[in-house]
Amino acid sequence: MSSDLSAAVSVSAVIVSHDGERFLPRLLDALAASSVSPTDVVAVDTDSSDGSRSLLIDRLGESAVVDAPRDAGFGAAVSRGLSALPREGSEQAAWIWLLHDDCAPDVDTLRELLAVATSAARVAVVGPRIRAWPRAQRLLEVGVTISGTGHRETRLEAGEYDQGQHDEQRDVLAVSTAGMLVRRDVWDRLGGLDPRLPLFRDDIDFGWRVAKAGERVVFAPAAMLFHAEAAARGARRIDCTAARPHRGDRRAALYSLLVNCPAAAVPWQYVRLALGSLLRAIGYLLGKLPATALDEVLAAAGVLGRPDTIWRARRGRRAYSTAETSAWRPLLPRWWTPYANGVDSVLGLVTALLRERSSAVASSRRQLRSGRGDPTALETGPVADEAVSLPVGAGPLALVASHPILALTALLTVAAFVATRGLHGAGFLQGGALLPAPTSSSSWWGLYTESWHGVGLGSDLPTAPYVAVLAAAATLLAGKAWLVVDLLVLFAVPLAALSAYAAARAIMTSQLVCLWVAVTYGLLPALTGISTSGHLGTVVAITLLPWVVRAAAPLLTTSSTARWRSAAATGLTLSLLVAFAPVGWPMAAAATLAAAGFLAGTGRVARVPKLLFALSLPLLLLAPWSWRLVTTPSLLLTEAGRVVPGTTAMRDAWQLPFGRVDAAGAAPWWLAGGLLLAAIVALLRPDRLARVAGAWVVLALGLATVAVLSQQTVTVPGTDAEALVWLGFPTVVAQGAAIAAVAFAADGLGRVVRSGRFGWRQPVAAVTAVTAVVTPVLGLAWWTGVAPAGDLDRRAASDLPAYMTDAMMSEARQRVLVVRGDEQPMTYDVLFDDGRRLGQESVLDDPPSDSLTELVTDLVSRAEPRDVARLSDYGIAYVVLPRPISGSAVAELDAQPSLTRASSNTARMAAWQVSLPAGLVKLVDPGATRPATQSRLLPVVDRLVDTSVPAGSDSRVVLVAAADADGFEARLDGSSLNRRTTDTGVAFDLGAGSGTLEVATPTDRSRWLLVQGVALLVVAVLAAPGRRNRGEEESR
Amino acid sequence: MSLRHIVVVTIALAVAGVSVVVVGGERPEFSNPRAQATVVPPSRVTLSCPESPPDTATTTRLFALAPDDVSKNGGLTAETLADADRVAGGSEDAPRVPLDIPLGQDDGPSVLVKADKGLAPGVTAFQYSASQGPRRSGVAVTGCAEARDDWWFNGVDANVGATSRLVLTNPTSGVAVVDVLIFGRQGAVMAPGSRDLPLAAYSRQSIDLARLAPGVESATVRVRASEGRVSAAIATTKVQGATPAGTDWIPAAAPPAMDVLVSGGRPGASGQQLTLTNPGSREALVQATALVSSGPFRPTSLTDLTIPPRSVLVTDITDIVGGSSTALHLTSTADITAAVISTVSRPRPEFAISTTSEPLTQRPAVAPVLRDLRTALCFAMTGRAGAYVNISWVDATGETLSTDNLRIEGAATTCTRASRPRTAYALVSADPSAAIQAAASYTGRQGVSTVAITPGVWRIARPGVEPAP
Repeated sequence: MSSDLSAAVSVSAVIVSHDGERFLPRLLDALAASSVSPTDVVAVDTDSSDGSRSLLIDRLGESAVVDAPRDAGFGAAVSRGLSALPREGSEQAAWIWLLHDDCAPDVDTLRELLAVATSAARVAVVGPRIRAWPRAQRLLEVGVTISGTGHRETRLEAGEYDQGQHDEQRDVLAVSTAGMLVRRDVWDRLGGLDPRLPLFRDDIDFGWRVAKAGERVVFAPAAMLFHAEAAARGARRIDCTAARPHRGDRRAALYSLLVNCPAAAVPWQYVRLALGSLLRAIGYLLGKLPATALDEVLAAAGVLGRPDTIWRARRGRRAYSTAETSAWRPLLPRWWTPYANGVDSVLGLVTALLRERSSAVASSRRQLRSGRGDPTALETGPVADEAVSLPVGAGPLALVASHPILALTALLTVAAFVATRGLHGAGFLQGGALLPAPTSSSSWWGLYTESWHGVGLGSDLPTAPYVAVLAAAATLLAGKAWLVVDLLVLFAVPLAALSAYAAARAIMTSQLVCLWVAVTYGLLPALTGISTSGHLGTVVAITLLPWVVRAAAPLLTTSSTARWRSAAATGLTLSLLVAFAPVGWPMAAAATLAAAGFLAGTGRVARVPKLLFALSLPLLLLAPWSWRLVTTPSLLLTEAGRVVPGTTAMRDAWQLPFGRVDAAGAAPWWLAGGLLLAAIVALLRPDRLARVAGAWVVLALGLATVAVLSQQTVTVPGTDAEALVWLGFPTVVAQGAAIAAVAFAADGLGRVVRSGRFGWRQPVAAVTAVTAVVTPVLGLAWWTGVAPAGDLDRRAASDLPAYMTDAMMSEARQRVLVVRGDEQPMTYDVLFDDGRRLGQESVLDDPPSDSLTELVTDLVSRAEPRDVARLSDYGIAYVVLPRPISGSAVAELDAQPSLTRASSNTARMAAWQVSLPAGLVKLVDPGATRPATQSRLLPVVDRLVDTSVPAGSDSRVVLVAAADADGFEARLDGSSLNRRTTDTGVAFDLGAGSGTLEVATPTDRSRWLLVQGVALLVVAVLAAPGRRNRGEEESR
Repeated sequence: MSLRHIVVVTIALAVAGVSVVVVGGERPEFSNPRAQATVVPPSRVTLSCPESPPDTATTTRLFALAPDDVSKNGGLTAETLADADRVAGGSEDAPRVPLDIPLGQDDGPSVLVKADKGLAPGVTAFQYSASQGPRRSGVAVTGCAEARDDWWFNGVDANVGATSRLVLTNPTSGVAVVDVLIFGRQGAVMAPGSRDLPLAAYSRQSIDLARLAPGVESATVRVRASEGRVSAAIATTKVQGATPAGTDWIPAAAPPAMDVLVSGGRPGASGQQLTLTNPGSREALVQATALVSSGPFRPTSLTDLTIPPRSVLVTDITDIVGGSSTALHLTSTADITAAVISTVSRPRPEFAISTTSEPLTQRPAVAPVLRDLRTALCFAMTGRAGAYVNISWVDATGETLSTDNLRIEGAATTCTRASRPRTAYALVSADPSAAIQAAASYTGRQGVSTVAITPGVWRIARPGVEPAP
C-alpha cells in the first residue's frame, strides 16, 4: 500500500483469468505500478489451457490463485475468488475491484475509483473510462445502459475517439465488470452477479439491481482502463456459455430486460421483444447471416418460452428492490433511442460510402494532376492516428466535384422538366401504349394478389409481375401510383443515365467516357420516341438493362469475384427487366449462349452454370406468369402496357441502325448518325478489339432480333386483332451496344494517341470523338427545344361521370358498357372497378364472348327489351356512347323501356342506365310474387359475398356475372351449392332455404404468391452484398 | 488483335448487315378480321299510321302488304297504339296478300302495323281517307312509316283558311323527346313550346301548328327527336270561305341535299307552286331543270333562285309545267328540300303535295291501287341514259295479273296508269343506280292526292362491332 487511501479504504482485487497468458503480464505489471495498491489480490483461473495459471502463481503466489472449472461464468469465478478472501470482520475489504485478465488499469485508476466511491453516500459501484487495447485512443465504455430492444447502449459512436468529451462524472445504470469497483456489502446483499448471466449482460443486470436497491452506480471519468475485449472479438474461446456468443448475448439481453423491468411492463415487453426478435432475424437473413438469425430466434424462444424462470428471478429481486421506478428510469435510454440509432447507422453507412468514394476519386485526381505514381504515396509518413480518419474532399461542392454524375443527373433532370413541359399538371399521364395509372398502389396490389380479376367480364389469368414492382414502388411513394408512372416516363432520361453510369463505372476506367455513356444512353428513351409513345415496358427496361450488365460483368470478365452472388444479382435484375419487357428473356438466352461459347473458349467453363442459373431465375421468380410465356410464347413479344393495334415498328427500315423505331415523338434519324459511325470506327482500335467485338456481338444480336421480330405479328390481348410487334427494346439493345463499343474504344484512347507517332489514327480519333460528343449534345438540344409530347397526354383517367365510377366501385360492383364510334367498326369495352388502368391489360386474354358482341350489335342496331335484360345479366348497369355518336344507335337505345337516359355531359357522351338489377352477384327468384323481389343485387366486399338470405322459392339461383369463374364457390350455411355455367357467368342453385350465403373467388393464388415471395427473398439474400463480421473488420 | 476477334467481328457485322437487309424488306402483310357491317332482313317492323279520321264524314281504310314472297313464315297485324293486344282490323299471315281494312272511330287515334319474321321485309302500309263533309272534303293518302329521329315536311300552311295538325306518335317502349323547328319565308320561326316535347312510350300527340306558328304560310317543318324515335305526320285541311278546299297528308320529304328531284306537276292541275327551303346557315343558289315527258328543259324563271339562310322560297310554276306530269331537278349550292303543291279546282277544290323521296331499288316498292280513284304511277330520273321500271300488277289475292317493263326516258318523267280491273296494288322495282323516283297520283271525284312510292324496310344494317383493343 503506497497510498494514504489504502489505510482508509480496503480493496480486494479479483482477477479472473481464462486462457489469458498473453494479456496477464501487462495487467499484473499495471497492478504493480498502481499508485494505490489493493489490499488483497486474488486470481481465479478457470482451468486455462495456456500458461495463465503458472504465470499467476509466479507473480502472486500460489495462495493467491484459486482454481475454478473451465465453464465457470464470470460471476461464479468472482464468487469463488471472494471465498478465498477473509469473509467478515475488519479483515474483510470494504470494496471489491473486478479485473478481467485482458484489461490493464492505468497507474491512478484505483485511486480515482476510490476517490469517487468515497465522495458521496450510497455509491455502491464505480466504473472507469475504458479504452481499447491496443488502440489507446478509442473509447469502449463510459458507463452502459440497455435499450428497450435489449441493445447495449454505450452512448458512444463506433470508433469514437477519446477527446475529453466524456469527462463528466455521472450516475449510470451500469458499468463494465472490467475494472468495476463494488462495495462488498452491496455485493453480498445482492448475491453478486446473476449466475444465469455467466458472461453477457451480467454487468447491466447487476447495475440495474444496484439501482433498484436504492444504491448508485457512478462513472468515474478520471479512472482509465484499457480493455482488449478478447472474448467479444473472438480472440479466445469462450467455454462458460453456449458455443454461439450472439445467442448468449441476446438471451442475456432479453433476460435482463424481463427480470428488471416494472411488473406492469412485462406483457408489453414480451410482445415487443418477440416481434423485435423476429424482425432482427429477418434482418440477419437479409444480411446473409442465417446462423445469427437462428441464434436470434433460439435466444428469444429460450427466454420467452420460460416464464417460470423469469418469474422466479423477479421474485428474488423483489427482496431488495426498494427504490422507486422513477429513481432509476432516467438511467435507461428513451424508447426511440434504438430506432434513432438504426437511422444513424444507415446514414452513417451512406456517408461513409460517399466519403470513401470521394476520397478515392480525390486521390485519383491528385495522382493524375501530379502525374506521379501511386497516390497512396502522398499519404505516407508519420500522421496522427486521428488524421487518418478525416474525410477527404468533404462538403457539398467537393461532393459534386468528385461526383460529376450528380451534376449530370441534375442537368438531365432539369432538361426532363423542360422537355416534358406540356405534360405536367393535373390528371393521369396516358396515351399511346400507356394506360392511366390506378388511383393508388392498393389497386395494383389487389390486381396482383387476387385470383380473379374484375377486368371487363372477368379473368383468372395471373397478373404480370411488373404490376407488383410498380405497386412496391408506389407504396414507397406514399401509395401514389401516378407518381411512379410520371417518374418513370417523364424522367426516363436521368434514370437511364444514372443506370448507364453505374454500369460504365464498373467496367470502364475513364470517368469522361462514363459520363458520355451516361448521357448518350440516357437520351435513348427520348430520342427514339419510346417514352413519348408511352411504352412504359421499354422505358423501364432501358433503365434496368445497365444494371443487368453491371451484375453480369463479373461473370464474363477476368474478375476473380465471379461468384454465385453475381449470378443471383444478374438473375434478379434480369427478372425485373423481363417483367417489364419479356422479349428480354429470349435475347438474354441468346446472349447467354454466346457468352457460354466465349467462356468455354477462354477456359472458364466453370462459370457457365452460373450464367444458366441467372438465366433460369426469371422463370422461377416470375412464376406463374412466366409459365404463360412458355405456353403462350407470343406473350414474349408484348410488354408492360397496351399493345397498340397497327403499330408498325419501322416506317423506313434504313433508319433502323440509327435506332429509330416508328414511335411518336422520335427525333430525326441523323441525330444518331455519329454514334453509328463511331461504333464502326471503334473496330479500328486493335488493343480493345476483344471488348469492342463483344459489344458488336450484342449489337448484332439486337439487330437480328429486330429482323426476326419485324416479320411477326402479335394478338392484341382481349381482342382478335393483330398488331406488328413493337421493336423498341431490341433496337435499344443494339443502340446500347453501339454506345458500349464506342466507349470501350474511347476508354484510355488519349494515352494511346499521345504516345504514338502522328499518323492516320490521330485525325480519325479526333473526328470520331467530335462526332460522338456532338451526338448527345445535339440530342439534348433537340429534346429540350422541341419538347415532343408524342402520343402522351395528361387528362382524367376516365371520361365517365363520377357516379358511374362510384357504381363500379360500389358493393354492387356494376359494370359500364362503353360503345365508341359512329363509323365502322364500332368498338365496345366493358369497364369494371375503376375502369381500364395500367396493369389490367396483362390479364386480358381471349376476347369477350361472341354472344356479348352480338348483344352489343343488337343494341345499337335493332334493340329489343330482352337485350337490355341480358345486359343486366352481364352486370352492366350503364351504357355509354362517347361522341362522335351514331344517331341511329342513340335512337335505338332511347327506344328501350328498361334504359333510361342518365345524366352526363351531353357534349361528350350519351348515357343510359339499365333499370333492371345489374351487378356482379344477384339473387334471382323466379317464384317471387312481386317483381321487385324477383331479382336483387347482393353486396360484394373484397370480391366476397357474405350476407344472409331469407327463405324463398325452390327455383332461386345466385347469378355471378363473371367470365373465367371456374373457381367461384358458393355456400349456404357452409354447404356448397350446385354450380352451373351460364353464358354470362355461373349460376348457383340456392333453393328455398334461408341462411348465410357466401360466394367467394378462388384463393389458390395466395399460395403462389407465398412461394414467389420466399423465392424472391432467397434470391435477394443471395444477391445482396455479404456483411463482414467484426473480427474481419478489425483485422482490416 | 487475334484471329478469333477478327472472326467474331466479321460474323457480328455480317449478322447486323443481314438483319438490316431483312428489316428493309416488306413487313408482313396482314389485315385484321375487323368486324364488318352486315345487312340483314329485319325480323320485326312496326309502321305507324298517323290517325283515324276525327269525324264521321270521312271513311278511312288501311292498306298493308308484305311484298316478300320468299318466306311464308310470319305475321302481319294492325294494332291500336293504345292497346297493343287488340287487333284493329285484322291480321294476315300470307305474303303479298294485302291487309285492306276499314278503320273506324273505335280503333283509336293511331294504328300500328306490325310485321314479323318472314313478312317483315319490305312491309308497306298506307292510310287513305275520303271526306265529304261541310268542313272537310277531299282525298288524303299517306304512307305509314317506321319511327325515326328526323322528319321534314314542306308546304305546311297554317294561315287563315288552312288548318295543319302535326301528329307525333311514339310507337316505341321508350320515352321520346322532340323538337319542332319551323322555317317560313321570313326565316326560322321562333315558336314557344316547340322544343323538348316529351312523348311517353306508346303515346301520341296532336299539335295545331297555327298555335306554334300562327299565320305561317308554305312553311317547312322539321321534327327532330333528341331522344328516342317518333313517327310524324302533318294533316292539312283548307277551306275557301265556308267551302272545303281539300285535305291531305303532307308527305315526309327526304333529308335536305344539294341535288334533289321533286316529282311534281300533275296533269290537270290548275295551279302549282314550288316551295324551296334552305335550312342551312348560308345562302343557297338554286338552278332548276324541268323533266317532262319529252325531256329536260331549263325554265328561265327558275334560274338562279336565291334562298336566304333558314328560309323558304315559294314560286309559282304553273306556267312552266303546264299541267303535265313534270318533275323538277334542283341543284343548289347548299342543302335544300323542296315540294310542289298542286291545286285543282274541278270538280271541287282540292290540293296535293309531292316532294323528294327515296329512289326505287331492286326490291319491290308497293303502290296501292285505290278503288274509285284513278291511279297513275309517274317515274322521273335525272340520268340521261334512261332505264326500265318493272311493274307487277297484282290483285287482292296476291296473284300477279300482268307485268310491265316500262321504259323511262333519261332526264324525263314517264307515267303509266293502272288500267286493269281487279288490280289491288302494283309492285315497282328498278335498278337503283338509275335513281328513279316514283310517285302515285290518285284522282277522282272526291279529290286528288299524291304519295311517294318508296321501298319498305327490306334490309337493316347491323354495324360491325368488336371489342375495343
